[in-house]
Amino acid sequence: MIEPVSPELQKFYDIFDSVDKSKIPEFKDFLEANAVNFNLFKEGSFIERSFPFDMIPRIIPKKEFDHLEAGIIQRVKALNAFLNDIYGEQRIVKDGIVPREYIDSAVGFLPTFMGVVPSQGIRTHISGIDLVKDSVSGEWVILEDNLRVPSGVSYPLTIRRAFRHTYPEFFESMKISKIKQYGDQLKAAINHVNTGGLNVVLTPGRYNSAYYEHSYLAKITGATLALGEDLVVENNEVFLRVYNGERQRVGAIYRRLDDDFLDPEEFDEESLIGVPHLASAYRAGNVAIMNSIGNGVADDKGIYYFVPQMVKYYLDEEPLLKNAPTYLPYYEKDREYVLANIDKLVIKDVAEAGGYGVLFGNRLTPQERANIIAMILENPRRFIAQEVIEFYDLPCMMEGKILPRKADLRAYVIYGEEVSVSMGGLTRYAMEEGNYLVNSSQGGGFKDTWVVEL
Amino acid sequence: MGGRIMMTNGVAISVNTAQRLYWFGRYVQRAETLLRELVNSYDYVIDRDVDDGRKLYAKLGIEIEYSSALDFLKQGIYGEHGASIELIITWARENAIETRHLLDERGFSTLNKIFNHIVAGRESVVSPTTLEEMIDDFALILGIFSSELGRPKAYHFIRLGQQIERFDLILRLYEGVDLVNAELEAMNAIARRLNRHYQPLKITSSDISKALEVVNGVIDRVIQENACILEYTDEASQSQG
Repeated sequence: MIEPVSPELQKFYDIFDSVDKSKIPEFKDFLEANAVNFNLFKEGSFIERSFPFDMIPRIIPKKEFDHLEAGIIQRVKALNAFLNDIYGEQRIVKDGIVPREYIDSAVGFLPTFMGVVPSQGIRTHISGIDLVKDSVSGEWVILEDNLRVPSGVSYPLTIRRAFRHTYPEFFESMKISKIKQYGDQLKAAINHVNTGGLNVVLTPGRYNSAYYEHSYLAKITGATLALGEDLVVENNEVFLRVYNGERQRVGAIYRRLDDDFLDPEEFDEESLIGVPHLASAYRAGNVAIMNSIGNGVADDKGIYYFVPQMVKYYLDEEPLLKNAPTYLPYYEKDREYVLANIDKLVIKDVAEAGGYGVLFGNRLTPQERANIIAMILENPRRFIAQEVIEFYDLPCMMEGKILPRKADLRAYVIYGEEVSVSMGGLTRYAMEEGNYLVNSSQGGGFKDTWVVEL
Repeated sequence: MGGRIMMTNGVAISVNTAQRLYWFGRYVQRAETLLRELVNSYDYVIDRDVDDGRKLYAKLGIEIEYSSALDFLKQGIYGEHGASIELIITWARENAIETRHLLDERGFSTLNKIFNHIVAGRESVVSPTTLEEMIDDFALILGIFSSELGRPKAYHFIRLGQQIERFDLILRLYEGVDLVNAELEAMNAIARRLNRHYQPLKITSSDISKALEVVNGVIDRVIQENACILEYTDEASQSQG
């Protein structure tokens, strides 16, 4: 079902009717000329691929976004408190809110980092919160919290500039919230935790799917873009190998690689893209790592279930935003419900991400159904089940027509001295009609997101 | 945590980035110069000497075959040899992608558009007019990175790459040792700005291969992968001179 046209969206259409449509291909030309890519690996091959863009923005009325903003800030504060607690006293476990098994068996939980206090007590420096708008209730629902290495923010930031150049009419006539301050906010957040030295964006390199973004973020924050081999740890301090043989101390690293690859001495010993002994420098408090090591425990799909309870527990507030109705087969009552209603649920493997490991019960063959039931019974902690959210489609321009496509929203949150939400975000849409998987890694496209005040 | 140290403002350039910037400068210069030579030779092939194209590439140690002036252009752009314009532009772009956070956006997108155009035209006839437009585009890119105002350190690496590539091609194509020697101070000045320990170079032999060795060795005196500030002594810097 397509989202009803709000007065704000109507205003967009009114202007859209009068603008020069022959300029629409300029967006594609812009993205191609600037190699604004989200690359893919398919069948072992690296494919440079422009991120498909649809010019009709998702438009969110300012009042509606204000509510979202408050709910997202509340959620990220609670998640940061949860991480500090889990790597500290674990009060939430001792008080029986989150079962210990859920912490201990979370893939992202790293007990060897217990007691490590990150710079300024911040762990969720940059979060990407995924939401959809439920077409039944009309409410926004949180689908996922991404607290490790959320990507995507560079695409709306890049396209917004192109949009303003190509169609200034919209920006002259509509009150659209600005997003360009993201770079300054991010830079301030990096400076806030910097322990003395350079700010660095650590990238796995040119063949990473989001390399464009790494480069873009280094540019807008004035940080040094570095590969793992550019950094060296000596006496628990991190240095950049400068071209003239000198070494410059590094005070903060905005890392764009997962924990597993960050330090071959600490994690995957075969990682060629990490920095040996980086974890030791982090433990010693000599470098800030953004986002912190071990955050995966908080964006585990199983832990997601407990986030509303975290809001109450840590902030003593009622959650402003809802989770999708979720069941944990770990609990007997939930397990019975899941097994009895599997045909109408979505089953998610908690260890997977990026749209992988997601099964729609109504599309399973009898054999697949039997297999998944056996797997749930064998290891209930590994799965969650969710009611299918009939989220809204958005209008998308495809082959000259406006067609409905499922779309979500990723909101970007920066945790510095203050917690702030970018007044826009990345709207991702599925290429095929009826497809619920909108992830970039599944071949989806993107839209800009406009927060509009009439 | 120990006492806080002052935060360092500004971008530092790593060994990898410095090398990428340098090679970006070299490949852009190489593409521009070889495109000019290609278009000039195209006219010679039509008007004066059908073998002019072969002679041009022989100076670079490459044997090429062509059946017509247009086929000569095709071989120059897409031929399977180390001076293929497609290959040089691909390398220039790879280096640009890895350093784009330090590059002017217009310079980057101009190069990327040339690359897209070259890739898309693989199955088509090469138009000399299009090549002339590309030469203009390369001149624009080189101009952006040579601008005197507000030039960041990253651009010095690009200029160093350009300058060394120019000298390299002058030596290979025209055997112009004197011409290179006359302009060597400009290159030494850039190298010294990048590394205060750099010792100026002179070419003392008229032997082309020795001159090439000197010119191409400059970068190793500017980018020092294995040195460390703690080990960087006067003795070390003299040994590089």
